[in-house]
Amino acid sequence: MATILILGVKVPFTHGGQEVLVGSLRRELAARGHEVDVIELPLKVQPKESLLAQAAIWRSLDLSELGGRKIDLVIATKFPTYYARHRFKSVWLVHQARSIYELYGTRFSDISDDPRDEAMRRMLVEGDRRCIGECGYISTISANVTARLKQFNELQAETLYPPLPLGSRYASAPAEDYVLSVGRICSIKRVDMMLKALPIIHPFVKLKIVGQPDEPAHMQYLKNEIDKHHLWERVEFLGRVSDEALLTLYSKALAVYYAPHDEDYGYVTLEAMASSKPVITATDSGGVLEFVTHEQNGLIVQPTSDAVGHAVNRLVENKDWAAELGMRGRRDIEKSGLMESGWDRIVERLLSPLTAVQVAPEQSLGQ
Amino acid sequence: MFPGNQHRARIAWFSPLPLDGKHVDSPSAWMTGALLPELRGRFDIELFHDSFAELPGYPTHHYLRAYRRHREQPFDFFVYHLEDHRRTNFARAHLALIPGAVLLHDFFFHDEGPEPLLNSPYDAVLQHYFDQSLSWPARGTVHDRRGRVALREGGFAAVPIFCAERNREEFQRLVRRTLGAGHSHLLHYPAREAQDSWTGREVQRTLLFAGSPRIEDRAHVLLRAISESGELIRLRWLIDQSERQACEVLLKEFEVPEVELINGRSYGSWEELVRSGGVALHLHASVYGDPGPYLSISLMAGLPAVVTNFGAAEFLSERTVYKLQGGETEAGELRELLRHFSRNPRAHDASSVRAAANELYSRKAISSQFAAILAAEQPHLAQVAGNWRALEHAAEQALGREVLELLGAAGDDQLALAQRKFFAPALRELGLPEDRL
Repeated sequence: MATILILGVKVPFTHGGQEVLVGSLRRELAARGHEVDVIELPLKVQPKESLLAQAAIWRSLDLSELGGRKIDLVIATKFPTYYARHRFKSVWLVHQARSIYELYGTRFSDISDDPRDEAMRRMLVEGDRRCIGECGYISTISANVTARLKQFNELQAETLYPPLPLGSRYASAPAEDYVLSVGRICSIKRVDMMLKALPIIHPFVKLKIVGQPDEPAHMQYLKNEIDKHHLWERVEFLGRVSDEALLTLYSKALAVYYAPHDEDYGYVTLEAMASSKPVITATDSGGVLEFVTHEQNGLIVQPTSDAVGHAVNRLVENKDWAAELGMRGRRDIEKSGLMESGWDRIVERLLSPLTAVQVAPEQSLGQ
Repeated sequence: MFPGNQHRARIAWFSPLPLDGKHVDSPSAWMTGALLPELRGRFDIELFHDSFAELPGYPTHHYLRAYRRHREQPFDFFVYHLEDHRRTNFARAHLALIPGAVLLHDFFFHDEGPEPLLNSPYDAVLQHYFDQSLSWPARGTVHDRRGRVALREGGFAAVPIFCAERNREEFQRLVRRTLGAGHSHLLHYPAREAQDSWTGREVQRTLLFAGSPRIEDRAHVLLRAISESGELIRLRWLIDQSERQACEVLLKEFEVPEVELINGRSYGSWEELVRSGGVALHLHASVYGDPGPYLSISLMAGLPAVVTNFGAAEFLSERTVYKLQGGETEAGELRELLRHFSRNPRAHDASSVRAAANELYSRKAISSQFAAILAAEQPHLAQVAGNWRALEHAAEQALGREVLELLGAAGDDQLALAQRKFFAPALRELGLPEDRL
């Protein structure tokens, strides 16, 4: 059995897929008899130059031995954890510093054409290539992230889809008249797009939002939109909820809205499908589209409030069809193996640097 | 290759790609599709754009890999295509990261560009380029972006190339600080030599139009002229499917009977349309945009081409096009012109138009001109590249100071020195300048 450190980052006062993934991985490694702990450092993205400073901080850590314990393996997850040095290092990449890659030039990135920003961007791209490249095993959480790593950093990786966090506990119940949104409340998740669709959706349909805002300003913006469109009776912010409450919310939703911009993976997609609920997503939602097929198990629309609104109405006006989409989603997820199993293979791969087995990228899970 | 030089020059070519075959409606993609086959005999060309797609036959990369490719195998030229459209946002961003030749298909933009460019310190950067003793702008400074003119893009264009004379004049009038050598170039849109059997002996009573129903494309003027002409005129209107309803509303308003609405506006579709002959109408009248490749295609086919004398069209020669003055008399002038064509089938000398167009718009001619521009500007571009590397080094130095401050390692006290010593190996590895550490 090995002594393993999982390397994560934490944006204080937020909770999202990263935390779920790290928690699940820790649980599964421990269940298999390994000694495992998590090292997390806070992630600062402002000022912009912090990105480089934090890469340097991680690069300066000596994780070979801590508190008299020899660390056999480190598993990195997200930028900049893979900058850490260790003789045996794996990466299960959630994402890199997106503002310097696929979000560059969009409203979700603040990296400008200032030569200082460009100098930093280049240093980090090179740093990523080197530090991820030195891992004994490289994997990512989705085909989307694998493609980015290949295109931007010329690194091959295996795709290991994270299994569902709540295993086989997802269930379905008769749909009530609400659309569910789950996830961090921030601009890239585009909760506002769903909110702004409400005025053209049948008035008896509500929106329930699970999750917490990354920034107070964004929450204020959403509240202003609610005020503007007089939606107080139709929108409910639920904050963080217990697992049981979340399962219930999924089970009774008419549909689940999840249309972030170029998502890495999207647990929410799979949770919706496992709960037999159709997913409403957008053409540019990245990893979500690895699971949702238009008019088969969900609806994929243009990333506009109008399109989202019309999609919801289609489901509202054809509830049998909505149920059928949801059931197909459930069957798809069952076939993928992401509800019950998958961890054995994931653990075996992530620990492969210790066994010095050369693992070639294979057909990814769920495909 | 340049005369006397065995080195085959390498070009990093930033453009939307002509992946949709004949359905291209981007002037950049059109020009790319037209010129690359001619240029590949002289240059090694690698393509850069903002998706993971590839253009068969050419090494194609995501544009954020450009600097790495440049390091692995240096490019002699960076060429950027810039349009008033978000599909060239990536080129618009990158032309300020590694300067080169910029083909400004547009000089006026409907929007101010990708979000980060709204606060681009472009003027400060250009000032710094010319005077490195100046300080870098303080972080968080709000930088003035004056309207929708491409001052930033013109400023960073080490070799500005225009496809419309009007834009070139505006650049010369408005852009004060630029990496360019003080002059600019004009490059027309290339088009295929006409291969049809239409000989121009008879100008048909057929009008060809590819404008939108929006006011600046003057469809309402055209329809009014047709309905008032009293002639039996057939209109073949190339549209985008999304415009069909608006077009039908206009047709009903002006009661124009003989109209064929053809879906799928693109340059390739226009090429097919002109084969059957007719009078080509390029009536776009706006500060934004110009007739683009549609006009080149029409003239290469020898068609009579009618334009509105406003904006980019003001600079077209009356030897090749028929100009309407625009304004109150516009519909009346067009009406009379249509009658003239209809009643005088041999009024138009297609072969001389085609001959003139062949000199201006043939792919061979345009690609030769383009290669000549690069050859002539090579010394200037090399100088800009050298100066730019110095600017980049200065930026790295400035960044190094910022990062050290964040790490508490910038000062000269004991703690700062210890911090600097601790972080030096990692920072060195990341590429921060040695003298900062």
